Amino acid sequence: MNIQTERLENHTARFTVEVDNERLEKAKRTAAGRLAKKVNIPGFRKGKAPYKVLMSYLGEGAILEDAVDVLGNEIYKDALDQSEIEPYGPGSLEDFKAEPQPTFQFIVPLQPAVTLGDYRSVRVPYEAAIVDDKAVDDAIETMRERLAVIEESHQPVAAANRVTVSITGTFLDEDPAADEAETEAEAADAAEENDEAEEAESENKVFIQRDEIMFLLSPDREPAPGFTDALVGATVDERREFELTYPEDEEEFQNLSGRHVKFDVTVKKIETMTMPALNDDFAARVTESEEKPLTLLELRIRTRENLQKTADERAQSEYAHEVLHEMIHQATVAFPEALVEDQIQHLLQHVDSDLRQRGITLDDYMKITGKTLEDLRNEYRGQAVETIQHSLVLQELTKAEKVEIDDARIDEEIEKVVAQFGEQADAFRKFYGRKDARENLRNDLTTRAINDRIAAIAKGEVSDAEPAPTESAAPASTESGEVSE
Amino acid sequence: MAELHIYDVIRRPVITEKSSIQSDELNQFVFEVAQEANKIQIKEAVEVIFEVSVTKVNTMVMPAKRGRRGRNWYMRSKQWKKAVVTLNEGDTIELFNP
Repeated sequence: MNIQTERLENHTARFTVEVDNERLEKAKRTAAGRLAKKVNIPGFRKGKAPYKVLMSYLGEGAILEDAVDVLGNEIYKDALDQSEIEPYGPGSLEDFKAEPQPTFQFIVPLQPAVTLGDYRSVRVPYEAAIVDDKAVDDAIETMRERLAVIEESHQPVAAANRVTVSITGTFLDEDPAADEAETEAEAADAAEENDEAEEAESENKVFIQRDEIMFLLSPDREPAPGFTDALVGATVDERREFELTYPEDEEEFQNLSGRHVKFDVTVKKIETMTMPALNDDFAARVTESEEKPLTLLELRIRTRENLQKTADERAQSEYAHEVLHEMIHQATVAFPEALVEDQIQHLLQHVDSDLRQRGITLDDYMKITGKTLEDLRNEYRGQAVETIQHSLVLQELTKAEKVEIDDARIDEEIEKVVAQFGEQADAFRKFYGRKDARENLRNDLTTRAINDRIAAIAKGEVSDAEPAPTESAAPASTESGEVSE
Repeated sequence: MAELHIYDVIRRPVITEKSSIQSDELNQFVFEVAQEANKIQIKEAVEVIFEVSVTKVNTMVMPAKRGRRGRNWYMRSKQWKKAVVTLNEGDTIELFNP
């Protein structure tokens, strides 16, 4: 057997294998024997016809095909063993020639290869997250609302009331971004009803229509600026129509900003909200389930701490993401087309299950949007490539930085998680006793650890000379574990 | 009765499990022949057509096979004459070894 290996440009390899004639002949005979069991030849019991009779009855092509299939698999295995190539996935038989010497050609997608490059020199400026007083105030305000005493009121609407209304909002002006909005709205409409042309036209004008919706009439909660003022003084069952203009360039209102709209509102229910006073009693009520109730000052401090923690986490994960992006730039990633195809398939499955939850299948979606499977595959191609690069580089970094999570660390994490569940702790401990749950946890921890590690690199906290020992990874991961709590 | 032509004597080769064993191991080749053909005619026909020399011819009349569906009898196969021709050692008929 004579094997030649060539590397092709799209990260695949081609084996060209020459086989002895006798080996092919033998394969053909076994193939004929196999086929004989299936076909019925008059004059012979099943499987008893001699090779020559089979040959003339089935034709040489059929036997050869079967023989090549089986022999191909055998040879492919041998060729792989001998060539020391790591395949990513199953290879495919590309070509077979019987003359002058039986020759097989296989195309094999190769294991992706990542060269990290000088990732240690990547530096990205880090912006720490800032929690301002307003954010803390807002959080406290939400707590107050939760503890507010709500009573139905028979007085006319006043500011700071909670009202339940039926509402219809209509645009009075032309949509400046008509094109984009329309296509999206139409796609959504079409999912429900088929004759969309005129419906969409009139429906486009109505941007909100609800039979029952609850608002808190305070300046930063109202659906549109001036909404409260327009509604003050209304009584139950009173209907009011008024026009408002959204301010320009406010991110909060997204595509509504700058639009002139008309509201048609009928008040259904008015409730007064009596907010608890901001004092230590309030703080004590918020924390009444705890061992020692807090004072207002302590509550504020803790709220700020919590907010800071969340903001830090987000900033850090965004930072790690950015750093990884830079590192991907540094790295050379080579992977076969088959990997991309797999990833696209994966993504599409994801999309499909997403759509199913909303009540349509991927097929329906394709019909509605008028896209073919090919279009979709092309659309998701970029995303798939990115995901692949991401995970490959991350994997390689984990290897290069020798980030490893040992069993003790996992046990520690399990205990930490389980502790939160009090009585049900045992059930959760059982759950984490399972191998796959443990592996998942290990993956999570590894990702966290490597993210911290590359963040540290990009901040310049890791000296270039440091050889990335295993010990250095362990404390980093412990840190991350605490942050995520 | 008009003389039987040699190409009318031999109807077809019989290729079955049994006949392939006979041809492989005993150098005997099996034909369906005309009912009225005799051993001498068969020998002559085989020798001329396949250019071999025949040492022995055995003939037999294979009985018709009847089948029955309910009350009705029908013919599954007609009566036919089979000839087992033994060839001289070294001779062979390619027809049986495609």
